Amino acid sequence: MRYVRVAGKLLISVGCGVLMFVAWTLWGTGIYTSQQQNALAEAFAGAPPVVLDPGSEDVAVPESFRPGPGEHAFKMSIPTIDFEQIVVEGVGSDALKKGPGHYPECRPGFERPLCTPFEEMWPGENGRVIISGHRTTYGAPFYNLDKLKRGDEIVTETSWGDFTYKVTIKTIVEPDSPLVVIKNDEPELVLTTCNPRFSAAERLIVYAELVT
Amino acid sequence: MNENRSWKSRLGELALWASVAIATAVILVLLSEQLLPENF
Repeated sequence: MRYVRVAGKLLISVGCGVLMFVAWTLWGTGIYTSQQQNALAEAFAGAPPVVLDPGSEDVAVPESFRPGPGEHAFKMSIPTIDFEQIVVEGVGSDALKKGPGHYPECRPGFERPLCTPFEEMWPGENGRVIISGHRTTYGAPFYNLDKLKRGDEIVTETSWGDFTYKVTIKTIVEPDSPLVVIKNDEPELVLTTCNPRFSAAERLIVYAELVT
Repeated sequence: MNENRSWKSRLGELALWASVAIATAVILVLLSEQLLPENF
């Protein structure tokens, strides 16, 4: 009888530990992200402006602007879902703990498959800007991404200007879909996250086109 | 069940089970990089 009682208490204790882990994963990790976002916002506010080539009609961010892994890239806000965060460079697990990540090109600090073999695109440029973010955990920046509708605005504030995109399509694909990280000459923004919530079985993709 | 245990004994047992719970949580947190999929 004594052993049964001890085993019961052990199971209850382990169960409490599992609950603590779940609470930490869902909410505790957000504390780290919040602290990182505060530091990133300060760094972004103090960053020098990026000067574009005045002779070019199209936006072409100079190659001198290439943030390192986890460094601030630009600010993104989506008024419809009350979202405003600093986007960091890179989509590795360490970068995404700080906030949504901008898909980089393969260069020192970024390795396949978490980078593109073609030139990375920035807001305003004629190409696909790809941003990935957590749906749950680490502040869950894209928790409400499924609530976006056609026409909703996505605003990017960068060191070379502000650019507004409007949502065009929302779709769900397989996690290894080859349709997301591709080269495209149209000025568009693509947001990707896990779907459904609390699962990595699928990817939710939101496409938006540049309007201003 | 021994109803005559001292409060120190009961407190000690509670601390023991609390430490088991905390240790379980810490181990799971340390293993979470392996347990959870990337970009969960």
